[in-house]
Formats: sequence, structure tokens, C-alpha cells
Amino acid sequence: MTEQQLIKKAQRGATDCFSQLVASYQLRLYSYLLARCAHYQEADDVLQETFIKAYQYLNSYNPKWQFSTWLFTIARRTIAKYQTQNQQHQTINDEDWISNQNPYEIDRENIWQLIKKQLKPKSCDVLWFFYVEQYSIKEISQIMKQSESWVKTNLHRSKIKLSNNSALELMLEAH
Amino acid sequence: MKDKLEQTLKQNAEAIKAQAQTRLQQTDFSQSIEQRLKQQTNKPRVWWYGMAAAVSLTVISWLVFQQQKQTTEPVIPVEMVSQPPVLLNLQQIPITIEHKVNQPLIQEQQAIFTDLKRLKAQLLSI
Repeated sequence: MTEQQLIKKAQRGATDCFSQLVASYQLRLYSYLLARCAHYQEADDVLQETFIKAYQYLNSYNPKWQFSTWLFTIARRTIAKYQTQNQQHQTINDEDWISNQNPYEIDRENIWQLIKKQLKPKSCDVLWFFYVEQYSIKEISQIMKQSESWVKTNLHRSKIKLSNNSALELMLEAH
Repeated sequence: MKDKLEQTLKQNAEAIKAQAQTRLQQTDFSQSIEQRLKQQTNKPRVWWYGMAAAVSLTVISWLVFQQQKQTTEPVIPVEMVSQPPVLLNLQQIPITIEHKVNQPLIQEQQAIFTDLKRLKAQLLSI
């Protein structure tokens, strides 16, 4: 069954067809979420929430666009919402909240860890979608809900900012 | 530098992907997602509640209207018949005025109820 057929069946309420879509996209989404989130718990929650939302709003999906770009759009919004909610929670009891989280095991020397600290979330997203997902500028602009020139400028500025970063320079030399 | 940056970005993303793969093998998210979706589909749809509320509102309004209609209809009391015609006319003035004022309101109310009934019929036919 093709992706479009699966989507159409899922739109009519076939949860098993939607599960097939989940299986096809969960690795890509989860990798992106691991690069963007601070803890496993956060990435796990956002992944599940993203798919639940996708199912709820499946009828609003436009087949003109790739299904993956639509999923990434939902994931981006879900992360933003989740992080805002948890920031509020974190300020109430910072230490307790951190100690309850699963320790993040991604290599501290992973460049995406550094990018997360150095750049704004939107810029991290643009870099991920461009270099890892290899989306076109047009597709990224659609996910980010921004103009194509905004995406180009953002990409350019991020690269300059990273090139001027001494920590990154050391990291690149080590590689 | 930029080439090296691009290369490192891709290589490090691969490391994250490998970690994601391992984690997905350990935790079966698709099962918990499917379970949550099934729970959601089993829940009655919100629009059913909306329709039920619309129907009950229509019925209540109709009952209230029926009650009001009975109380607002001008009725000439029986004892007035035995009274002289001039006095009868004078006593009838407030009733006639009330009737003239109320009549357009009643007609408007009836029109609203007809619309509501039509809407209810349309809703039920969906």
C-alpha cells in the first residue's frame, strides 16, 4: 500500500494504517527530537504527542506537500509548547525537576549539543532540516512557516556564527 | 571550514540516529500510540454532544413558548359581558393594546421556532 493510500485509510479511522505511518516516520522524528530536546523523557513525550496530534488533524493534511514535512511542522510546535510548559514548571522547582529526568546520554561532544546551546531553536531546526533531512529551501520554509529568503538568511547567519565559535573550531579540529 | 562543518553536522546526526534507533528498539512507542488512538476513537464525538444540546434546547424553548402562548392570549373575562358596552370598551383597551404589542413579538417568536425546527430536521438528516 502506498503512503497516500495509508493516509486516506487513516483519515477514515483505520488506526492500523496510521500505525504503519508511525513506524515509517518514528526514527526520523525521534532523531530530530533527540537533537532538539534536553532529556529522553521530553523527546519521548513529544514524539507520542506529535503522532496523536497528527492523527487528530489528519483530515487537514494537504497531499500537495510531503507527509514528513507536515509531521515535522507538528513536531516543532509540540516541542515549543512542551518546553514553554516545562520552563514554567522548572522555575517552580528546578532541582527536583532535573533530578527526575532521565540523564541524556548523547555524547557531550556531539556538535548538535553545542549547536543547541549556541543557536536559537529556529536556527537549529533550519540546520537539521537542511543538512540532515536534506529538505529544499522551499520545503524548510513550509515547515518553518517563513519565507524562503528568511530560511536562506538564517542558514547563512548560523553558519557564520558557528564558524566564529572557538569551541566548535576545537571540535572540528578533533574530528 | 564550511565543508568540514557540513560533514561534522551529518556525521554527528548519524550518531544521534543510531542512538534513536537503539532507543526505539528498547521502547515500543508505536504500541502505546496505537493504544491511545484506539481510546480516542472509542470516545463519543464532540459533535454528538452539540447536537444533543441543540435538540434539547429546541424542545425546552418550544415548551416555554407553549406556556407563554397560553398566558399571553387575550381573553375577555365572562363578567364583562354583563357590563355596559362603554365600560366594556374602556376595560378592553389595555387588553387590546397588550394584544397589539404582543402580537408581533409572538409572530417573531413563532418564526424563530419554525427556523429552529427546520434546523433540527436538517441536523437529524445529516
